[in-house]
Amino acid sequence: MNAGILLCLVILLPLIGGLFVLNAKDAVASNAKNARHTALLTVFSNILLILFLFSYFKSAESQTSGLIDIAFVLTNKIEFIFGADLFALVFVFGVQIAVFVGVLGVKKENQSQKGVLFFALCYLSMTNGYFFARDICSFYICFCGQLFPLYMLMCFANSEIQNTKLFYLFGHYFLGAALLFASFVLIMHTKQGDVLIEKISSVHFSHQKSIYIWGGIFLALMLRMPVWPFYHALTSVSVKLTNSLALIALNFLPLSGVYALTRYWPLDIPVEIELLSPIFQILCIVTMLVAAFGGFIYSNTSQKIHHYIFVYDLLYLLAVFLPTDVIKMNIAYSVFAFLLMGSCLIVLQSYMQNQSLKTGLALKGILCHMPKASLCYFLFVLAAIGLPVSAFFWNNFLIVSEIFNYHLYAGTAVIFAMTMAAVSLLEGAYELKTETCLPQTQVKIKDIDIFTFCVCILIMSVLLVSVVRPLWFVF
Amino acid sequence: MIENIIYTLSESSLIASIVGVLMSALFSQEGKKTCFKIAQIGILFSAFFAVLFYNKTFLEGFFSASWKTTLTYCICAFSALCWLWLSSKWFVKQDASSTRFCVLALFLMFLLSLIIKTTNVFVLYGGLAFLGLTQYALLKTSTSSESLYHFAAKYLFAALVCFAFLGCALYFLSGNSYHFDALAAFLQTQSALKAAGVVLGLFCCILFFVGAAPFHFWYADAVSASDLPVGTYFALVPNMACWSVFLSLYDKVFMPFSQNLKPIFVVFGCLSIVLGAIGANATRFIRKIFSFAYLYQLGVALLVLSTFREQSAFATYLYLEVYLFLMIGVYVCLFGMRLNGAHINNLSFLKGYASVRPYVSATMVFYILCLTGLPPFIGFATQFFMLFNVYRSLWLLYVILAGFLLLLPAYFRIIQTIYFFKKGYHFDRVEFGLYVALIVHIVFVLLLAFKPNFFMMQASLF
Amino acid sequence: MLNETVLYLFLIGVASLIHTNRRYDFLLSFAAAFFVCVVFGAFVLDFKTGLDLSYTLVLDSSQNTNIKLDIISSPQNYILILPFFVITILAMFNNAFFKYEPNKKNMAACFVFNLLSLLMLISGHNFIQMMTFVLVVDILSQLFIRDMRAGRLCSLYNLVSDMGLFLVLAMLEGKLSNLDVGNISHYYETGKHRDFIMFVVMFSLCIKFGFFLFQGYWLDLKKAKFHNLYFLPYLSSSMAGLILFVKFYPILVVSPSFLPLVNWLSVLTAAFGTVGAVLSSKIKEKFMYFNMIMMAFLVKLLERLDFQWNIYFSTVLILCFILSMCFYYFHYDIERKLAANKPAVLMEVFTTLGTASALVLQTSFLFSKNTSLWIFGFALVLCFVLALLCRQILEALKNVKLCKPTDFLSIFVMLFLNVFVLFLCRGEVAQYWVVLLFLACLTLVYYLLGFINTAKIQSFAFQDVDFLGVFLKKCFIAPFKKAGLLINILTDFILLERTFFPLLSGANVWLIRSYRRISRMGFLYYFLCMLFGFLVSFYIFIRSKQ
Repeated sequence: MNAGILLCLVILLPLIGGLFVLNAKDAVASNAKNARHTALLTVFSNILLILFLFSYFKSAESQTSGLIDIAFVLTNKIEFIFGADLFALVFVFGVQIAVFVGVLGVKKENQSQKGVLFFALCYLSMTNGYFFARDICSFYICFCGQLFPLYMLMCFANSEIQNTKLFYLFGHYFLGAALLFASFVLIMHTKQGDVLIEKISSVHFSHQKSIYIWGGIFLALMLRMPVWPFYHALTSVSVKLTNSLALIALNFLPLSGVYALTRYWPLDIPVEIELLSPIFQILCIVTMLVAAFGGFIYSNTSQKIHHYIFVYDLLYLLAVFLPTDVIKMNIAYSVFAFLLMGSCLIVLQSYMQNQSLKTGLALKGILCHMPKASLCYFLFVLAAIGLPVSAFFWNNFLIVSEIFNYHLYAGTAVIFAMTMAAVSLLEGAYELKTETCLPQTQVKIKDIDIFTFCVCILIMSVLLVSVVRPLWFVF
Repeated sequence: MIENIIYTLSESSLIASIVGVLMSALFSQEGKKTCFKIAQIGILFSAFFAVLFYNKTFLEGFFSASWKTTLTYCICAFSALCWLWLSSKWFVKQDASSTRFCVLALFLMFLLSLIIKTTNVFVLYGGLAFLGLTQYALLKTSTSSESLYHFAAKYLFAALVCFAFLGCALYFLSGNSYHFDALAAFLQTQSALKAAGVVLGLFCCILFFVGAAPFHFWYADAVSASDLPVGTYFALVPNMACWSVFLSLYDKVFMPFSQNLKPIFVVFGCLSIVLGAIGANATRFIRKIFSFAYLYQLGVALLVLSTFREQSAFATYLYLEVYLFLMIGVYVCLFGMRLNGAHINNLSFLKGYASVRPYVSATMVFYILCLTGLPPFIGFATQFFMLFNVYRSLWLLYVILAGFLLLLPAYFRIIQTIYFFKKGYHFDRVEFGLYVALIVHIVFVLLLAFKPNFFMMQASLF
Repeated sequence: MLNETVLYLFLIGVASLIHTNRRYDFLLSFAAAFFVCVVFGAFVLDFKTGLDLSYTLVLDSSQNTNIKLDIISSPQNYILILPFFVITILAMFNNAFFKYEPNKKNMAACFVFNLLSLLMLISGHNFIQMMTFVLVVDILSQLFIRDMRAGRLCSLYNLVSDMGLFLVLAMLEGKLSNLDVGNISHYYETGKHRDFIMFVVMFSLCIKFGFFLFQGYWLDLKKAKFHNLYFLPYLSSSMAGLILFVKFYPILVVSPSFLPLVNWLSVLTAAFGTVGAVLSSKIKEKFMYFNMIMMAFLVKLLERLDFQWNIYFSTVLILCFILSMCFYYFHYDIERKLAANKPAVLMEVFTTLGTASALVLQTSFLFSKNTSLWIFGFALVLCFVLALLCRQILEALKNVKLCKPTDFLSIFVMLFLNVFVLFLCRGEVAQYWVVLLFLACLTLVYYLLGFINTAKIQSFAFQDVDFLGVFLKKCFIAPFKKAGLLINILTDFILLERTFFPLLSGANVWLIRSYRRISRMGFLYYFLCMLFGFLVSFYIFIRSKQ
């Protein structure tokens, strides 16, 4: 099959699946769960397509070369170009698996799951387009196109979120979109046409324009990252969300910023904003420490997971801004493992929370009554805290060592934050496994079903095999 | 002579339709639908003849026809047809007399046709004066309420002030300078005060009819406070005609005074954007929200026009054309949203509408997304085209984007109310015809989104 | 070669994990122990041939480095691995025969994988391999402990320790741009902060050793079952720490603060361990404190030997392990059973004394000007603690009801251990005077202790309360958490949630209210708008014209 067609399919399939989801039967009374199954099948098909796409990259040498390009001509000046290389594919693959796990975690008895699933698939479609976009026009369309499905997904998932907090959060995102739009309009006006993103740095701008363009791009991507003060809105909304799919989708967004920066931010930072670079890095590290503190002080396990995710988002951000390109694929592999682990942890955590709410039991010690969930949860926690059961550990090591190469104190602060995050995550896991006094017969908690368990074990196996070779599925 | 008569067929068919409506009201027992049918047929014929004689007109010194004017008139006619089709449903349900309404509608189309084609300042003045009066009469056809009565009076007052101002300014023109092409040259030889009087008279008068700030004050009430058919007229029909005239004047009369007018465009544009955004967030009436959103669009258009570049006029024309096309869909949805027989205007009455009417809600959301300019919808393409081709100053760009951000919460509030609040009321059924209309409209919108070349073809007309 | 040893051990470990009926647990665990013995035999033969080979498996290549597995078969590595092999075999056989262990087969697999991890840690030559197998050893220690309450603190402390090592290794890799352990000594050509590195490394290693100030998790382990604990100090994180201590020495010794730090920590740990061993009444707790003393001694000894791990040091390790086995058997034969098996206990006492003597003997071979003071000190402490232990046990025998010796397993194990100890110390007849001197001192101390009522001291609350843990919690962790809360409140709550966002929404509300107020003015509003429009446009037009 033509690689270009495959690429189009990967982008459009979730959207098509979403339309089927809308029309799927979902009568709670008859226990028909077609919407969820349709969504699962769609994402699974996408996963298979991506695996097939990987086969176009025969060896490790094709990591940075080997591009698949397709173009749609809109006008004589605008041409949408989508392309894939290993770096993008690793991100996309991780995202698909994470969404698959998220769909698995969607509550079966929730009336509004169709809305959740439809918008999740729309969001996925836009995200796939975002990762494959190579010109600024299509990049912006997908960048902005992610936001509305995400907004609807979160509203469908949980109507208890205060409007104001949601507006602040999406205010950030749309502000970023506006800034990016302005930057791209400026670029396209200068170049009088569409530009490939990696060629932006070769376009010559005037001093003032350069500040606006690079500043705009930088801010637009930063507004997606949990850098203080932007991370407050993200935290406030995250803690209120109970739907795992919405949580996973919300936590993608910073990684999409990491992707864009890794790919397209020039190694030689424009002189105009170079002065701000140290300030920004300090802000990153301070936020990392604050996030690590946050996870440490709160006893709520879901808060610990969120703060843990923020710490690692910021680690990747710091890594991206190092003046070196050598750790690009390390970031990709690490993010891949991070996505898998993070999504499984979120799904398991939200399942436990739901069970706790249903049965009235406290979260403390809940895992004692859920052996399958306990096994899965601890496996992923062990992987998440940096133990060598996935490619996460090795690649993080190389990333951190590169940070040390440039900034000793930054590296120390980073390790400190990672340690606090890991300790808080592990402590949270132990809290869930603390033995309670209730006898087993009195506790009516349902463990995770066998399908979810198998999927978790399969994902753990994928992570474990990636220890030996991260791209073991490239054949 | 005969030729001239033939070339008036576009206008005369409208006059004939008026007669037909009156006669049917007098002699026919069929009622409301007949009037509308006659009106629609009249407009159809009018549009047909306009296309047939696309470059021919009567009284060539006063009027001129081209593909541009024909296109504009066809857009107005299409909007008018949709308006009348929707209004007929309203009148049937309300069981109200539609004769006066149809007569006024046809007369308005006649006036708009003249305004679009005119190249004479006095004809324009006359046309606008009659337009103002006829619109006042249309407002008065709404269900009488004290607030609407006062509003109609205020509108008339404002319109009269504008006419008075323009009339005084035009008083100083001599015979050779009435034509648009000669006017600019003539004014450049005159004193600053005279030139300012005429130019700004025309400028402010047209802005009043278009509904841009600071002359926007009547527009939101006209759209929202009046009955739905009347509000629909103000939202859909005269905008394109007035804007076309404005662009015509922009090209021929305002262009030589670009240095003087630029700051005015910028000030009024920024004002429109800010007031549009604030107003949309300040109100809880759905039609008002859209009217303020329209004010924002006008602000953007004014800012783009302030650059006085080659592609500015076409870009704004395209922008408003697409906007209007989308608003047709919005109003089809609004006509479907009814509660206990009455059309819903207050946003709080729409709580949980999506749980009962998912398709109408989904199409409404679709149109809202197109109007916001978010990608990958069609509104984004036109906004992008406008800003890409004609942006001049960085800070203008940021003002437009800031306005966009301020306007978004208003749109999202509608979506939230429709989808995420608990259903509070028992909503009426939506007519099958409206569903069909929505489907057809959406298909067109999607086709245009995938084939934007259709829009680009119009560039040659400019 | 070592790579063959690795392969065989891996296969044995995997085979031990095969799911079978519980009835075959004993057979399978015994078979695993047996095969490990066979592999050990091959290992010893390879050791004697004195091979020096290396084997590298490249796992992944990236732009900046290659991730690889090294297995370096050198005589030094063989000496390092030897004691762990022996200890593992002893532990595996003990596991096979010990009747209170329900999961013999899985435990056997854990032992094999643990040995494998230690082997890879020793034979590895790159940072990532080192880090990986340190972490694997930590994970396996949790599988050994198999008790959430007991293992909780252990895993948290080890995590912190591992992150410290992660920091150091990442720093080294960053500066050296090379993952090779051999390049550690080049660090000071490219980097600096020797004291910082030394402190971080020692901080991590002290946690692993369970030294004073970091012993909280170690003492917490007493909640777990003894048969899951007795081998932990000699097979798990502590030994991983010791191996790292040897590998990291080039960056430790360059710091001037290293020696004083090690001295103080060793002394304090030994003192703390001694006090704990004296004051605690339960054998399990005595064991924990005793191993603190042993650990302090081993670390200091290694440092005094200039980090040269020789055959005597390996033997010392094995003998330390045998001593801990004695403690373990004491526990089960006295404290666990309602009635004591007198012959078994006496046999255990005999074995303990014999092992301790052998230990002192082996240590004497490491006697030099550098090590003399420490060996003397250790011998004295050992003497005192063992004397106290023997007194406690023999008095317990008097107090506890004695049963008929139906259980001969302990006796057989002790016999075997005695023979093994003799085998280890064979051919050193000339040094036996050391043994005699030690035993004489021990007997003297034993009788002197008869004048002290040790029972009264041992009922002290010391053994029930972790004072240091409480101190750390109240003086460090609680303020830390409070600081974190304060920062969160300041940055998020006050600055953002109560200042910035309310300002924004306030501005928004004010704008909307103002607009509504203005638009309600009716005619005046219309008039003002028009006036504004006309006037402004006129003014601007005229000004521009001028």
